[in-house]
Amino acid sequence: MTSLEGRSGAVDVVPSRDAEADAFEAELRPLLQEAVRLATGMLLSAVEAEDAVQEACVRAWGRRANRRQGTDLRPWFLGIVANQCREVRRGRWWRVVRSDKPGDSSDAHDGDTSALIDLRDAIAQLPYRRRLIIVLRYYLDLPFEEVAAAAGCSVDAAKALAQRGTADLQRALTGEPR
Amino acid sequence: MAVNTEEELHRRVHEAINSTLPRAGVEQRVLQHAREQIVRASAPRISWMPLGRGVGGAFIALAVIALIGGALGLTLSLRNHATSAPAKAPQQILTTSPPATPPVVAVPTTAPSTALVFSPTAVSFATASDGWTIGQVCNPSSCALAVYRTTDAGTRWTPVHFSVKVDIGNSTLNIRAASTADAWIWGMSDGRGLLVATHNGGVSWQSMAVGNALVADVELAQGTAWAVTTCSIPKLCTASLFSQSVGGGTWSDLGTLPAAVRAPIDNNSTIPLAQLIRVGDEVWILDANQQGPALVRSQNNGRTWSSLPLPCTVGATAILGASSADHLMLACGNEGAFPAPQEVWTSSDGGSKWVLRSREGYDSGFSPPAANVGSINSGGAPIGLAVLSTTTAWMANDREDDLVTHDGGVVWTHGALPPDSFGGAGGAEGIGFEDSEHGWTFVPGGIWTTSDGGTTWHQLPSINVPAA
Repeated sequence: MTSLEGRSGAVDVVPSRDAEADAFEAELRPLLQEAVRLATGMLLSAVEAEDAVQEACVRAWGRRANRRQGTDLRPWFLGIVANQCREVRRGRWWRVVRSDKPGDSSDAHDGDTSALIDLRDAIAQLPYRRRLIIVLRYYLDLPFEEVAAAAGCSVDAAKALAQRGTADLQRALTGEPR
Repeated sequence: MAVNTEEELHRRVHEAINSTLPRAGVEQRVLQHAREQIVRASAPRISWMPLGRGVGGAFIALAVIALIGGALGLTLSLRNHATSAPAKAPQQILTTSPPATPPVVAVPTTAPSTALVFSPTAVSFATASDGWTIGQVCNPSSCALAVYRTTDAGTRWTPVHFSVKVDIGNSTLNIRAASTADAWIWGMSDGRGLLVATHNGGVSWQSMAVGNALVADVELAQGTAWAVTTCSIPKLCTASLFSQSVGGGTWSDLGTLPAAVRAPIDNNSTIPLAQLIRVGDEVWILDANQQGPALVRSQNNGRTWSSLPLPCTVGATAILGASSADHLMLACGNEGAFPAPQEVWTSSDGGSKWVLRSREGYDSGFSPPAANVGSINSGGAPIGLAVLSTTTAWMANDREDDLVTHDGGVVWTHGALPPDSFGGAGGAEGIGFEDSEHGWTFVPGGIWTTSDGGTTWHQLPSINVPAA
């Protein structure tokens, strides 16, 4: 690699866009499984989750400049995925054409399946931030420090939201009034 | 079904969600489609076709969602990204027809399926009522650049014909408004610097050739618009200042930038981060390149320059604001780390000496560690700074709510903005104030304004664009 003498010493020549994209993709690839799980938990739809992660990848590429080289991509990217899921949820009007949202199936289920559907529906009813914390904590199994980093809040706030989210789920599942 | 233990909740949540996971191979599909989308977004601009209701509307919305933040180069006022293509030859003055369509009446509801939603990427208000915005309208196959202006504080927006060819998939554009008639759009398109101005409300656009340079910032003061340019490493050029009367006319070359802020872009290879601040005859240029940041000041309208100390931690990006010729505020952030370490410094002598007002996140992972000072939420990193007085300033944060201080930068609190739009990994795209009472901030999903100094914020109706 050639270099030019810049103000602060030797400066690498700009890599080609393709090389930059390849490097970015290589860095992103190991995070995709977790990203898909996060999006699935947030959207409870395989189709929407896949779309959301795809858009998050594009968004991350566009925002790569915001990230300092050498720092951890994971919480940054999971934050983008979470934000993308929020925007998808906000655009409810187009969701009506989707068919795999929870509760679509009207077939009879056994007790265990019904209980899982109830839980899925209860998760779907959680406000955005509580749902995000619940999914990060109880589905991605992240420690609270990483939950907080991905959600963009303090550890204490993450714990408080998890507590409230858990209580919401309990109420929804047992039919208790709020 | 009651869930009695934490372990049981983990297990149950896994079972409930696992059944909805996408089919195998999702990671590969996601990467492939994202790559295709990036390539498609980089393709030449295509006029979007009218689509019908129902599924068509659904895909329109998906594309809007997809490309609101994503189309590679959303403009954060100091976060242009650039590639290394050569600069374009000087362009002719472009004259276009006045907008034929009537003003779009913004509807503060969800867009109907027959409408596309405009997504702002840059906003500028000249006064509380006169504002301009540039952004995108997307359908599944392409995005179109769109420019709007308002004369009633955003209740109604009029489409502005913008005939300058822009590679929307590979561009970062910003806008500065001086009035309902005068506005500048600048940035980068397809690796080339772009600087155009209108002085008749968008009827025609005048293009300024900047050679190999990229345009980093445009600032207005004393009846003139100044543009600062910067260079990319593969296409070295002479980084310069240019000036034009706010009312129009030819551009003057004010000369090359001081050596301290003339280095080519070396921040993440392609990111120009030069910022221009003007207060009367005082001018500052902040080169926030992470590898060689520098701050210079001129006290005689750019005739001579002196270097100023820059107190940010090594490797930080920085953003500067000024409420007067003496009072400056500097927000530094080591982005990428999350939460992002941040510092806020102020100066009462135009930047010769700096006082640390707040700091968070440098107490671990940095050598030597630095103790926290004051109180600043470090969830995001500063991308916009509006300094209204020696005590009050607003900060837009990437991945965090807008923050406000009323004590000169020591304690920062969240603005009264909806966390569903600004917080929780979202973050604002920009912020600005026309005066101490009237300001704006925005995210890809919309623009919020205040008329009481930020005590309350109200979302402007969305700009819906007929799909036909």
